[in-house]
This record gives sequence, structure tokens and C-alpha cells, in this order.
Amino acid sequence: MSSNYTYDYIIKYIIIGDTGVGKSCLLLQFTDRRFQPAHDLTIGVEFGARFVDVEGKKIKLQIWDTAGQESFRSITRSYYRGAAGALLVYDITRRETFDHLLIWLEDARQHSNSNTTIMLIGNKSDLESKRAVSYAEGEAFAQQHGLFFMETSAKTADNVEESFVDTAKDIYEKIKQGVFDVSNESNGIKVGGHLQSKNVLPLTTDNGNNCC
Amino acid sequence: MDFFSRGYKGLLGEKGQPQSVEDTVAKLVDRASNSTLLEDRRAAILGLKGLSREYRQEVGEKGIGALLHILNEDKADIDTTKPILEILNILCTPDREDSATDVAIKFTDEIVQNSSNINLFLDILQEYDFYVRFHDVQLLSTLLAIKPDNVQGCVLTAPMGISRLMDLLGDRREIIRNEGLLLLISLTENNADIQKIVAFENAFEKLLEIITEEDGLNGGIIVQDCLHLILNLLRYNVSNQNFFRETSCIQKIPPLLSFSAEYQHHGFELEFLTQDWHEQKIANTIVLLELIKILVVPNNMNTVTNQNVMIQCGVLKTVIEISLSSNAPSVVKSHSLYALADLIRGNQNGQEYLAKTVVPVSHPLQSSENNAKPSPFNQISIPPRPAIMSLIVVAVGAEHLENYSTRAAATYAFESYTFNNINAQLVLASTLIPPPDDNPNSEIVIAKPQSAGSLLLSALLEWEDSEADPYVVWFASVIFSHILMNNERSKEYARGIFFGNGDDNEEENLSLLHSIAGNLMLATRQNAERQNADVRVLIGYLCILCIWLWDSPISVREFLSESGHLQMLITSITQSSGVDARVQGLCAFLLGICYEFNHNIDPQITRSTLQQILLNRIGYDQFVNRITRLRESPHFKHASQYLQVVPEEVAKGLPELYFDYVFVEFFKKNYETIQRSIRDPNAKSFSGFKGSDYQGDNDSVITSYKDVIHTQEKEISQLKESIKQLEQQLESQKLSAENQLSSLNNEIDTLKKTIETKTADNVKLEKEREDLYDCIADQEASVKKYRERLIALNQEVSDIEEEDDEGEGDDDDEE
Repeated sequence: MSSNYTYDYIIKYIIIGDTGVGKSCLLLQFTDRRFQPAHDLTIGVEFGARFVDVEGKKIKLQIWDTAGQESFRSITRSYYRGAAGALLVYDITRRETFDHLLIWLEDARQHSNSNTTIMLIGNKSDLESKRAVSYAEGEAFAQQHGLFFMETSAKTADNVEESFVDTAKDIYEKIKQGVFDVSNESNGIKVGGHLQSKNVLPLTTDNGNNCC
Repeated sequence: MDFFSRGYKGLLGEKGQPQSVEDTVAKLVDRASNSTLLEDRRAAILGLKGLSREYRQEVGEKGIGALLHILNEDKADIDTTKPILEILNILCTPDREDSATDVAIKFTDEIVQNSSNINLFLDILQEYDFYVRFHDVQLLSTLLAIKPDNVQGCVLTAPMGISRLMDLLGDRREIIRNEGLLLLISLTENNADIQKIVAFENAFEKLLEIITEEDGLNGGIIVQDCLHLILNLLRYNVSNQNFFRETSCIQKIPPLLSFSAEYQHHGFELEFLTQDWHEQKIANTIVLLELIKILVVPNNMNTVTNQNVMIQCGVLKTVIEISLSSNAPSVVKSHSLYALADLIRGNQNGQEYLAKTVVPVSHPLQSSENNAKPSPFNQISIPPRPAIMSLIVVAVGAEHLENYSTRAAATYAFESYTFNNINAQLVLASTLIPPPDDNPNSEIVIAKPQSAGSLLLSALLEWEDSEADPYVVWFASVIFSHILMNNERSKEYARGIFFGNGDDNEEENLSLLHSIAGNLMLATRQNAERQNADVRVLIGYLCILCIWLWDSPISVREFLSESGHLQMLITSITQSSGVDARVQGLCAFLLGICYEFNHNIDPQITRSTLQQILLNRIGYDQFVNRITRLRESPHFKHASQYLQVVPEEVAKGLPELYFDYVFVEFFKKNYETIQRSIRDPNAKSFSGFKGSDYQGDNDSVITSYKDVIHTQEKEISQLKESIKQLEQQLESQKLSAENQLSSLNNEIDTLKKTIETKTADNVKLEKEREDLYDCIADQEASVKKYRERLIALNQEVSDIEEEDDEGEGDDDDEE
């Protein structure tokens, strides 16, 4: 049981995007592996957590799921800076949620850490018949702004795991390259106790490996 | 010094005459805003500061706007920032006497109305200078105290606001850190959004670190403040509670409670059991226990998960030790017992853990006898006993160590142990029989050996000493009720208990049920004569009987087998004065239960006899009135859900605990059924009744359920009606069908008979025919024979025709 509480890294995520695009459902699918069709409107911010494995490292993802409504926007901004990963979600069946991406992105860029990994997610890929934004458009937007991109379905769980894990992989890559100052927790990353105490911060060890 | 001389020159007029305050303030404000030299501006600000205490109104009215403007422009200049923050702080701090109409409120309003001002103060927090930070934090605290909503709103929407405030916790200068902590405490009061952001900024971890640095619970008030802030972040905030658990913060609680992995080492155990409890440590511990309780509030969605983590990581273990074997003062112990209760309530793992735990017994009496310093070695030389036993010892005050509030807490903890735990009830019920006196395992104990159950029973029946402490009986009765509650097998065990003078003659031995009822009768009499029987004792006994007899016809029969019992109930109910209304109500309820669960096993007192007694001697209205008066009595209505003693009550003497909340719920759920079944003689007894566990406290919910019940009732009666009709229809159809059937059967029978006779006739005729054939054949044969003989004879005749005529005559006879 106690081994459940040891981790190599804790990484903080936020999930942002318009209201009703399925942010809370993505989180629920990821943490509880279930889908709740009639999810209540998120008020403020909700929290969820899960372990993932990246290159044999136990990484605990702490995920803050934000309310998409305009009225909560000012509150949710406080979470940007402390997050190392951000999932920016739109709904492929509602054009306007895609059109608002620029506003979200601007907000995120302004308030978050410059090293934050952002994953663009086109959710509700199961509703192909109602699609209003093509895959190519999403991909192009992501490319243009330097984001990762994926289409997911919180309902069928398609790509949900991948979207969270791939974001973690990128962040872990950045940790290894020493992009993050992992000693400062306000960057959204915390190193596990055992890694700290042995003074084997990956910054030094992994850089050495890269040289070889 | 130069500053001062320049500033105060403004106070003097051109001819050295003193000016009015207004003029001076105006002049200083003007200089502070418009002087070209920085030094002049600083001097003017200091001048205003000098005036601000005495002439708050004047400085505020003329200066606030200008000062805020200067602050915005010159925030980089420490010597400007510092005094302005000080002035604003002075202006906004209300005088104690008259805070409602104070000008401070007006000035605060003026400042917080513009959110950019708050943002400005938050920005200034980036300045590292001690005084700037200090006054800035204080100013924010002052504003927050007066206008919490505005300030919380501003801080919430400033993207960096909370993270700046959180930085204060990392400030090495203790004063700043402590001020920041206080600011965060008031900021997080009642605002879930701020609570979440603060948690997001790693507050839990930072605060727990500070607590550890400050020597844990042994530390000073800073520890209490840190715990208080954690409490604020967790209270009513499920998301933060999840975060707290997911970041393994629960695991950090046991070490704080002086728990250690090295606990097994004897030395450490001693240290734990003989801690020094100074006042601050008591306060710190209580907040920490409060924090534990917040995570395991009964019926919350996450409670079971949190309970399991706490059981697994040792929180429960430490809490049990503090509750039952530490030297903690009573106030800590009662908090700890309540925490213990919530940790195991409805959680099988926790209940089992408690059941398995044995705790060392601390015995201060022994050390005082020795007249020496309390020696820890003496204290733990007494063999440990089961934790459950200790709970009962504390609850019934067997060792006279604990106050009422701790005893109530122990009783509540016991209740949590038996809550939804049939096995625990049975195990305890089985210990009701006292262990044998010559138990070889009990040599060390001086007093006679006791089990949990026997200890409980002796407390329960010792009512005669109850004048001084009626709670011996009362707590024992609550505990005993929880052992019996809805558990027929426990009741069966209890029915098997007899008291007597050792004879095996059961006639002379008194059963436990009869002992309790007998005690109740004696106590009732004494209570009526204003002697030493407290009404709590009566209530305690009556509550036990109600729970014991409920849904247990065999127990009802045993109770009614002594006619005095019924008589006593009737007498109590019908008295028009001199009997406590609550006792009367309980008597009525008990009588109703006797009626409801009397399954006519005893021919002496049947259901209908009881009903007659009830309706004729008491009357239905009086019966209902008694129950209603009980329901409306304040102690019944406001029974404490967690069995808590209000400290003020204890100061007055005895606490005001009269009813256990669980009993109140049980009563509320069932009294209407009892009333209805008495009114309507045809109503069916509902044996095997299993009530729902519905616990509603919301009126609207209750009414909505009532509506549902009403419609369902209507539906049920309609359905019943239609069933009746259908049944009748069926009955008549059945009848006619039966008639038809029987007539048809008859017909068949007669036909069968005819056929039988006919067949018989046939057979007879056949046989006759057969015989006749045979006969014919015989005849033919003999005819043939005779013919042959005839022919032969003819031959002879013809041969001897002439000789013999008589032979011819013979032949004719033969034919």
C-alpha cells in the first residue's frame, strides 16, 4: 500500500477550454475510467489525480479541471502559472469552441510558465456525423502555434489516455533536458523524495547519459 | 531629523501663528504630490503620518486619493512607500469603541472600491524590505477585516495575487511569515475558490513543513495558525480534501501526533505516555484532531476512502492511544474520542482494528498511593486491556478519571463501533455473563475480574448511587441499547442473563430484563417521592426497554409475564401531575411497542386485551398526547447528534444530555406506526418490520417524501380495492365452476355405474350363451351318439325285428 504513495515526479496539469467541450468528462475518463453523460457544470476548479508510467518513472499527475464559463475566467487564471502541462480542449461538433482557441491560447501564454507544454484536444470524436471542425484544421492550428494535437472521445475513451500520457512524456523530456528548474515547485513539477535525497537530480544524471 | 523640521514648518503660518488642521493637511498633501524634490515629498508624507493618528478624518478626507496616487507612482521608493502604507493602515483601522460608524469604514470603502488599489498592494509585496512588506501585509489584513468580500474578490482575480501571498510563508523573517499566515487565514475563510488556489500553490506541503520545523505539536502558536489555515482549506472543500489525500498529506499526520515507527521501543512508548501537555500543545493537538475529523465527516462521499488511508497509515492507532492510554488532559481526550468515533464509523476495517487493539492502562491512583513521583513504570505495569473495555470504563466513569464531556465522547465512540456492525454487537452481548471469579488470568488485577459486558451491567444496575452521578446509568444504558439495537440474537443473549444468589433455581433468579424493569419501578417510585432517583435514570432504562422489546415478541412476552410492569406503565402514563412528561411519553411508547409486537404468545395478555386496556384505561387521545409531549420536549427535539456536552452545562452541574440521538431517530421513525396500529384495531401488526435508514433533516425533503408516501398510499388502497374485487370475482367464479364440476362428476359417476352394470350383464349373458352353446354341442353329440345307436339298433331291430317289439319302445323314450 505504502508504495502507492511514492512517486518519481509530480506534474501539475490544467485543463482549459470553452464550457461544455468535455473537460470534466476527459478528467473523469482518465482518473476513473468512466463516462458520465450528464456531468454537472464545473464550478471554479475541481481536482483529480492519477499515476502514469513514463520510461519506467512513476509520475503522478495532479490535474486541475477548470470551469469554462466566462465568469470563472478570472479565477482560473491563477492556476496557469503553477502548471507544467495544459490541455486546451475544443468540441469538434461546435465551431465556436474552435474559434475561441486563440483567446484561450493568449490567456495561457500570458499567465503561464513559458515552458508549459500545451496539448490541443479536439474532443467528442465519436460524434463524426456532427463534425464541424476537420481533423486537418485542428492539426494546422496546433502546428501553427507549436502545440501537440490529438482528437479524443471522453465517451469511448479513445485517445484519452494518450493525450495525458503524451503530455507527460514531453514534460519528462523537458525535465531530462534541464528545461525546468525542478527545485522550484511553482513550475508545476515536484521531484520525488528519494530522487532528491540521493542528490541525483535528473538534470545532471540524464545530461550525462545524453552525452554518451 | 531634517525631514521632521521641514514637515512641521508647514504647521506654522507666515507669522508663526498656528494654522487650522485642515489648512495644514491640505498644504502637506499639496507638497507631497507636487514638490519637485523627492526629499520634500517624503517630508510632507511624514508630516501627514504624524497627523494621521490624531486627525484621522481630516487626513483621510483630503489625503487618501493623493496618497494612493503617489504610492502608485513612487512604489519603487521605499522611503515613500513605507510611510504611506502606515498612514493608510492607521486611517482604515477602526477605533474599538464605535466601529460601525467609524470613518475607517468609509476610507476602507473608498480604497477597496477600486480593485487596482488592491492589485497595487499585492504588487508591493514583491518588495523585500522588511517594513514595506510588514505594513503592506498589515494593511491588507485591515482591509480584509472590514470588507472581506471586496478584498477576496480582488485577490481572486489578480492572477499573481495568491502566489505573492503564498511567498510570504517562505519569508525567513518570522514576523512577516506569521503576519502572512494570519492574512491567509482570514482570506481563506468561507471562500472555496481562494481555498483551492491556495492549495494549488502547495500550501499543504509548505504549512506541514513549517509545522515540522517548529517542533510539531510541541511548537508555539505558529503551529496552531498553520493547522488553522489547513483546516480552512479543507473544511467543506471536497476538491481540496482529495488533493490533501492524493498528495499523501494524511500520512504526515501520525508523526505529528508523536507517533513513530520506533514506537515499539519501550523508551519511546514511555515518552509518548508521559508527555508534557502545555497549554499551546493542547490547543495545537485539538486543531489537528479537528482536521482529522473534517476528513471523515459521517456520510460524506470520500469518508470511507479517507478513513481507510488513516487506518492504514496509523492515524487511527495514534488517536486510539491518545484517547485511551495517554496522559492527555480531558479536553484533548474528548476531542480525540470524537475523532476516533468518526474514524471508525461505518467502516468495518476501522471497527475491526479497534476491536483488536489492546491499550495499556494508566493508573494515577496507584502512584499517588505510593506517595512518590508518578512513575511511568508503575503506570504501565498493569496488564493492558481491550480498547473497547477502556471505552466502557471511561464512559461509565468506572475509574472516576474523566469528566462528562470525555465520557460522552467515549459513549459516542462506542456507538460508532457498533454502528452497522452486527458482529460487534454479538461479541459484546456474549460478554454480558461475568467471567468466573477464579480466572487464572486475572491474578494481577486486585478487583474482581470483569468483562466488557459485565462491567457494563454492573454500571447499568447500580442506580441507587445515581444521585451524584446519574450518568453512570445513563451512559451505560446508551451503550447497552447499542448492543441490542435491531439485533435479535443479542437480545437472545441478554434474555439468558439471570441474577440470583447463586442458586440454580431459576424461579428465584431474576432475569436481566426483569431486573431493569424492576429497577425502573423502584426508581420511578423514588423519583415521585423526590428522592435520589434522577429522571435521567428513568429515561435511560425506558430507552433500553423500548429498543429491547421492539420487533421482539419473545421479549415482549417476557416483559408482560410480570403483571406489575404493565401496571407501572399505565400508572405513569395516566398520572396527571408529578411525573416527568418525557418519562410519560416513553412509557406510552413502550406500551405501544408491547401492543405492536405482542403476537398473542401469552394467552394471559393478548393483543386485544392490551388494546382494551389502552383504549379504556388510558384513552387514545391521552396516549397520543403523551407521545406528542415527548416529541416536543426541548431536550428531545435538540438531542445532540454527536452526543456532545456543552461546556457551560457542566459548569452548572450536570450536563443536559437526556436522549441519545440514535434513540431519537428510532423514535421518530416509528411512533406514528405505533399510534396508527392502536387506533385501528384491524391494522396488521408489522412484525419483521425493517425500517429504512432514511435520515432526513430537510423539511422540504420530508414533505416531498410525505407526498410520495401519500400518493403511494392512495395507489396501494386503490390496488387493494381492485384486488378485493378481483378476489370476489374469482371466488364467485370458483364457486360456480365448482358446482358445475360436481354435477358433472355426479353424472359421470352414474354413467360409470350404468356402464358397469351393463358390462356385468353382458358378461353374464355371454357366459349363458357360452353355456348354451356347450349344451347344444353336448346335445348334438348325444343326438349323434343316439342316432348311431339308433342306426345300430335299427340294424339290430331289423335283424331281430320280428323277435323283439319292446326294444323299439325303449328307443323312443331315449329320443
